[in-house]
Amino acid sequence: MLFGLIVAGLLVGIVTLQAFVAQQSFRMQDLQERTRELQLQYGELKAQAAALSAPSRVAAAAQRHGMVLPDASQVQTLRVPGIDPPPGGTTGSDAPPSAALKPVIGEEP
Amino acid sequence: MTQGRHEARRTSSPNTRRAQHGRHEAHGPGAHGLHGPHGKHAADHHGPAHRVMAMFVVAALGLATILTRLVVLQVRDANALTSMAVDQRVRDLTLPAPRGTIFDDSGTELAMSLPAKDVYADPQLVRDPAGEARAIAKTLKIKVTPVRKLLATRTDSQGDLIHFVYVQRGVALNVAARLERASLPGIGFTSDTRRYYPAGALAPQVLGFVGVDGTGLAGLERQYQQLLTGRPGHEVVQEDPDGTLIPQAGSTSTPPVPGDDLVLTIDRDIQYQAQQSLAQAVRANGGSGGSVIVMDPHSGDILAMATYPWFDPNTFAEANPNYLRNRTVTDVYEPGSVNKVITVAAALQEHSVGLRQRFVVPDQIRVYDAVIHDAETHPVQTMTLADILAYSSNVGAIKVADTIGQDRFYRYLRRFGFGQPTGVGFPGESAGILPPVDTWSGVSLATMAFGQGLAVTPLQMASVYATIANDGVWVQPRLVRGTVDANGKFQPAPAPDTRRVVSEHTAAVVTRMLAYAVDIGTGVEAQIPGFWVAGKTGTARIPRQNRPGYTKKYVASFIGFAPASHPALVIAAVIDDPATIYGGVAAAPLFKNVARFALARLRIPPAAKPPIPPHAVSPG
Repeated sequence: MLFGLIVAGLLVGIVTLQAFVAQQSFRMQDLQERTRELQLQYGELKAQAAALSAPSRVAAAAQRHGMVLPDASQVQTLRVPGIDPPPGGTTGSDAPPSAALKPVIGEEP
Repeated sequence: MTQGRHEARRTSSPNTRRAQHGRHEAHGPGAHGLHGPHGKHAADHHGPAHRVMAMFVVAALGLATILTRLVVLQVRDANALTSMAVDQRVRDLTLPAPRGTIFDDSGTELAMSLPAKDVYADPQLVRDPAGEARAIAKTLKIKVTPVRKLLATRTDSQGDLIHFVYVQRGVALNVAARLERASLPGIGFTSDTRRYYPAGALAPQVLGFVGVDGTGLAGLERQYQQLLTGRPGHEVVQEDPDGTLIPQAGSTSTPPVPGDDLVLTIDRDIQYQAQQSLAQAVRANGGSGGSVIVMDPHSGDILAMATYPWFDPNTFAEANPNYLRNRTVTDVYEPGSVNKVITVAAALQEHSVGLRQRFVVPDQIRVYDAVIHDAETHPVQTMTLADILAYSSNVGAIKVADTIGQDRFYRYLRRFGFGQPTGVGFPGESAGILPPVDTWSGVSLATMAFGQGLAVTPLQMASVYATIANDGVWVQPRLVRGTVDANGKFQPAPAPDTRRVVSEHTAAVVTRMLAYAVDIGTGVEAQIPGFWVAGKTGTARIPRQNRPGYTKKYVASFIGFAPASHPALVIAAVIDDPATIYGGVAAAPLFKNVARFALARLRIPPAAKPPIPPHAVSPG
C-alpha cells in the first residue's frame, strides 16, 4: 500500500516536473523569440537614428526652417591659453571619440 | 454473512453454467463436428492442453514477428532510420555573422548591416506565376516581368526541375513581413543581412559597396573585406513537422563572431560640405566632374574625400559605372602649375637658387624644338622665386628647374611621392606616371617644372602640400584610424610612414611664398576672411587618350592649407574640364568654401600672417 503510494507520488511528481520543464522551455523559447525581435528592432532603430542624423537630412531640415550657413566673418574661434590645444593638428590622440562611444552606440542591447 | 456468500455462490452457479453452455453452444456445431459424440469427453481431457499449446504457438509466432521486426528496425535499418529521423527533425541553421560597421571619426555609422530576408521561390509549387509575380513586384517595388519569368520557368536548360530560385535578396524585414502575410504558394524566406548606408550618398566612392553575397566589391568595403567579415555561427535545433522548435529536444549553438568595425578618419560633416561645395562648383563652372580632399597634414588623416558625380551606395547597381571610382586615388591627371611648389622647394633645398635671386622672365621660351608660353602674355619681367610662384610663370619655373638639373629634380619628385602609391590603403590606388629620368626627352625637365609631362593622383598632389605644411615631412595619408573588435576594444591603426623631404626652413620659406601667392597672386579667390591661406593654382591641359599631344580641355585646381603659419588643414580642389579654365577662377572658390566650413567645424582659430617673401614684382 505504502509502496503503491510512493510509486504513485513519484509518478505524479515526475509528470508534474516534466510538465513544468516543458512549460519553462516554451517560456524560454518565447523569451528568446522576444529577445530576437527586440534586437532586430534595436538594429532598425539604430539605422533610423543614423539616417535621421545624416548631414543631408539635417541640412535640408535646416533650410526648410530658413537657416543658412554663417558667413566666415560671423564665426570667430578664439583660443584660450591653457584650455585649448595649440594650433597645428586636429588630432591629439589616436583614440577617437568613437572608442568611448562604442559601448553606448555599438553594443547590442 | 457466510450464508449470503454461499447463496451468492449458489446463485451464480446456474449463470456460470449457462455461460459455459452458451460458449459451448457457440462452438456447438463445429465442436460436435470435430469431436462427434465423444467431443465433450475429448475436450475435457485433451482440449485445454491443445488450446494452450496453440495459443503459445500463436503468441510465440507473434512475438517472433515482433522481435524480427524489432531487429530489422533496430539493427538492420537502424542507421538509415536514425538518419531519416534526424533529417526530418534536426535542422542545422547557419547564423549569419553581422558585417562590421564603418564609423566616421565621431562614431556615427556610415555603413552598417541590418537583418534582412532573402525571398526565394520553388517554381514547382507556384500556382499562378503571373498573379504572384504582380504581388511580389508590388511589395518589393521591382519590375514584374523578371519575377514572372523566374516563377514560370520550371526547368533549367538541361531539362531538370528547378526547385529553388532567388527572387530578391536582402529585403528589409518589414517589407518581407508584408510579403509573408500574403502566403503566396511556392514563395519562401531565409534569413540574411543587408548592407545599409544611412547617410546615403556620403563618401560613396570611399566606402564602396557590398554585393548580395556580402562580399565587398569596391572601396574600403573591399579593402577591408576580411576584417569586416565575421565568422558565421551554427545552431542545431530539433523541430516538429510544423517547423515549431521542440523545446526539450536540446540544441547546440556556435554563436556567430561579428566582423570588426572600422573607424575612419572621415568627418561626415566636412565630407558633406565638401561634396555640396564640389557639386555646386562643378555646375557653376560647367565642368564634367571634380574632386576634393581635406587632410590633416600632421597626422595624414583624410577628413573628406569626394569625387563628383557620385552615387548612392544603397542602390549602387543602378549607378553609372563611371561614377563608382574614387578618382582622387585611382585616376591620374597632369597637375599643372600646382607642381611648381616642388620646383621651388627643390631649388631652395639644393641652394641652386637664392631667395633674393632675380630671374629675367619673358612670356615664352624655346626649349629644344618646343616653345613654351606663360598663361598670359606679358613684357619681360624680373622675378624672384616668390614672384614666379605667385604669378605662376611657366618660363620662370623652367629657368628655376634648369638650376636644379634633371637628376636632382627627379629625386625630389620621387621624394615627394610621385611615381609610387601613397599607401593610403585603398584598392586600385594608382602610382601615377613619372617616367624614369633616363627616358626623359630634352623638354621633360622643362614641362615637369610646371606640371606637364607627368601624372599624379589628386591625393599624391595633396600630400605634396601636406609635406610643406608639415615642416617638410611627408606623412602617409590614411583613411582608417583604427578598428573596434567584438568586445568594443579600439585598436589604433599603425602609425603612418613618414620621411623628411625638405628641411623645416625650406618648408617655412615655401609656405611664405604660397601665402604670398594667395595674398597678391593667382590665388586671391582662395582668401578666407580672418585667415591667412597658403596655396597654389593649377591649370593643366588634359592629354589625348592613347596618342601624344593634348586636347583642348583643362583641369583646374587649387591646393593649399590654412592657417598658413600654423597649418591645420590641407585642401585639394580639382575641377575637370571647366568652362572657365583657370584654377584661380574655377577651383580657388571651391577651396575657400570647403576651408571656411572645415575651419569653423574644427574650431581652428586664425593664426598670424606669414612674413612676405622677397619679391621683385610690385603687387597690383
